Amino acid sequence: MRYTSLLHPMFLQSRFLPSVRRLAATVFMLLSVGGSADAQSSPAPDSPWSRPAHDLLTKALDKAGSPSTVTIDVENRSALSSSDLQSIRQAFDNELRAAKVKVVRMESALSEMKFILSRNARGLLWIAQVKQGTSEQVSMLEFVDPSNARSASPALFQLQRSLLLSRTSPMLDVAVGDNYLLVLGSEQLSLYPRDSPGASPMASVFISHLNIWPRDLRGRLFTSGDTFAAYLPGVRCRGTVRPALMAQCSESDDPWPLLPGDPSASAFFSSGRNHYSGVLAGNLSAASVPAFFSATRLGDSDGAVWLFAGTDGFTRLYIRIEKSPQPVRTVASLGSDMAALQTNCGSRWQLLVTGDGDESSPDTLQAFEIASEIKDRAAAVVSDKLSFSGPVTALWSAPDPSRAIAITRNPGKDTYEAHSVSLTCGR
Amino acid sequence: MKRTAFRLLAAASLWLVALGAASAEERPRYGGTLRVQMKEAVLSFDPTDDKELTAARTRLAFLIFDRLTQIDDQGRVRPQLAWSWTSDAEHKTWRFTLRSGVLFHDGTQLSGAHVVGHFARANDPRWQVRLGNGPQVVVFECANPIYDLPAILASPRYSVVLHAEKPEGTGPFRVESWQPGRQLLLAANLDYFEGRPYLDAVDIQMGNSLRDQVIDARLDRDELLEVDIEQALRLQSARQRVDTSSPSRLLALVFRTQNPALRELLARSIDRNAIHAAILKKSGSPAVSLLPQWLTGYAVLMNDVPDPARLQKLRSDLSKAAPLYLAFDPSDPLNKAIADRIAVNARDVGLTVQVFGEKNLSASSRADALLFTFPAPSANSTQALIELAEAAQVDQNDVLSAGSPEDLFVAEDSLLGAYRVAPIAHLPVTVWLSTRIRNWKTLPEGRWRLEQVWLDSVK
Repeated sequence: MRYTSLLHPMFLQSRFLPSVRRLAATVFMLLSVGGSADAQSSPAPDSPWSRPAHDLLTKALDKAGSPSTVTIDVENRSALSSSDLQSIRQAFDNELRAAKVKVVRMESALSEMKFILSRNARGLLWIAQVKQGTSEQVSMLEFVDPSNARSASPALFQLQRSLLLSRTSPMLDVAVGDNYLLVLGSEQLSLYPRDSPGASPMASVFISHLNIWPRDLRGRLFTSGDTFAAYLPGVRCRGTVRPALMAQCSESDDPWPLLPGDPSASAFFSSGRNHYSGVLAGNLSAASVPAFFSATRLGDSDGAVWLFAGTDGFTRLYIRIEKSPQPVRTVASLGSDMAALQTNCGSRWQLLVTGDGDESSPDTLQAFEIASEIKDRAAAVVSDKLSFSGPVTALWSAPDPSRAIAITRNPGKDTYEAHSVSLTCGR
Repeated sequence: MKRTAFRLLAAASLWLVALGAASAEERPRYGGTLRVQMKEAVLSFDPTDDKELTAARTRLAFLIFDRLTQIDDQGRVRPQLAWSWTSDAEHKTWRFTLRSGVLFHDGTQLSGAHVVGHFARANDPRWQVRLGNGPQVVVFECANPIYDLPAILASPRYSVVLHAEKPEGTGPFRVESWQPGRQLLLAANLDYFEGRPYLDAVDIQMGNSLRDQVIDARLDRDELLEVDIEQALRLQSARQRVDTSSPSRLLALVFRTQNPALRELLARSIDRNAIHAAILKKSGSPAVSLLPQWLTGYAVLMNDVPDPARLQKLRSDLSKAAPLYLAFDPSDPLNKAIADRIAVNARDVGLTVQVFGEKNLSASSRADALLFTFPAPSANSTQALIELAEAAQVDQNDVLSAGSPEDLFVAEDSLLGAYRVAPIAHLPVTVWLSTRIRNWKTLPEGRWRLEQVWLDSVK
């Protein structure tokens, strides 16, 4: 089958697209009859739009009794990009072909099929309207926008993990020393031998605090030589690892450093909450961003990008953090936890993010790269997913920039596990 | 040893320098009183009484009271007083497990018995509420399946209220003093289970006429002022800080007349685009749906393509219709202009509409139709549609059983098809904010989340 569109694909990719979109929000897919399907390039099998296109079309055809011939009209009401629109059109084509429904001219069609690509407060809402004579069937599919969340380009790199420690009590953060692990728990700081994941603690000290910990307690641990600083909501501890594990904790609203090895970039953590308030401090001072769960920086020069995983479910990318910083891009569903990796792969900076799911389901980690063009700043997948048997409860950048610390809960063993995660180039 | 000590000192100094520098920077500061001006003179802050739940009362309800559940910015249902919930397969029996350790503002500990007693008083025919296994488990037995009861219970009208000497809530602020219709002074609830608010107090003045000159005079005294659309535009052009929500308040005609043809003809006659452009100064958006497009995603299906044949038939059927009385709230001058415009549109289709101002709209006894602005609903479509149906006193059974966007679309389409409510426009909620206000978040529905707000000392 040979397809002819009013808007040539090359034209859709052109710089004139915005005005084209304004002028013609409705993109007609006029498809000629006859010819061979081979002439049309096949969509990527892992296109994020394949599944929703399949699901919506299945619903629509079920309701409409699977007409053998249809006309197609796709209306973009959600400001999807031209490339997404092309992929979606292609996905619908494929699904129709698989369902043995022929796309024909209006005069020989049994049904008119219109797909409205809309958006609502929760994400994307795709609507299929099927008109047959005087009757009209409406089907809808609501789903999270995958173009914001996850790009589906082929994986380039491979994530690897090594188990640092497994224990029954929760861990908030882990610092890896030359021959020890320092672990921040909810009530104790504990010292473990390194390279012995099942070991018992060599020493522990209690964390004194007056306030009641919030649910979903979070904390950070930073080491510098033999000293450390631990941050919990409303509490800061300072101490030493050697010659003996010692800690002094006190109530504190001081900001938490955001990056290991760079205490100057910091942010206030909401006491009694599980997130940062959004008010920045240190060399990011006088600025505030929406409240966020985690923040990280990709790059270490003027071209660095700051990412903030907002509590509103959006991840915001900033190039400059100044008094009233404006994100260059806001994307949905990159997850609440993220960490930066500096590697020898690709652009040398990758973003590690957690997968979908709640606190009871298995989780994944995946690496992304942020496109360098300022106007786009799209996140592209660069690794396969690294799976865990339970949720990732914490994910932090490590002082060694090529590694991140991931803490997971293993529901099968009822344990918490700390992993060191790194990236290797190639698959 | 000496070297170790030096290293320790150096490391400690590094931290001290960094943290010392940071502590001099801005941080969320606790304390301060937020001064607020509200237009409406609220006579009762109890959201569960039998009075109309206006936008102003809704805002107050969110400050003083909690509900079993809450709706987040993306319309998802989240725990509030209920920590978790489950339903049976039919969605007729719902079990809510309450958070423990929650205190009412008078110090009473919240229990399942309070919740059961609270809902029993309301005597809602849609459900019976009883204690489940354990004092913190509350069971709703619904007469008919309710697909998303947790979303419905997030409505301010289902705020959990302890009726003691005065209505007590569990919310982030407690009532310090109350002069009905004039002033409400709120103090931070230090025991709030989600953390005490940053602010110490909120001083809400209400019922004042906020004409332009009054607003200008107040800009140096207050931190938060409700402003109307024209005032917002004027303040914005003066480079003042104005916050505008998504268009979510529904401006609509609510019909009292029992003549369906008359309702339909008047609804079809309204030139929404002209009202939006000329009177509303293109603020918000013209509406043919009850819920806005940004909220549902399906409002695009509800177009208002003219149907001349239908219009002609209605006109001929109603050629001798008596004049129709349209009431509007005169406190906002835009309402009169819109009502007059509707009367002009009606004349074009042969109807006579007489408009008149009525301070208490819902109590108007002689109106056949009301020009009504519904409070902004939450970002949850189901709850929002239920709210509108309840406020408009129209049947909501289809909405209650809606389990998918299609169901909700059909339910809304059905509500619209009855022509009990004729949408005109979706309007944003606009407020003026002092530059002292920090951590202000624009919520899609225009709700004020004052527990997150803090005040900068510098104006």
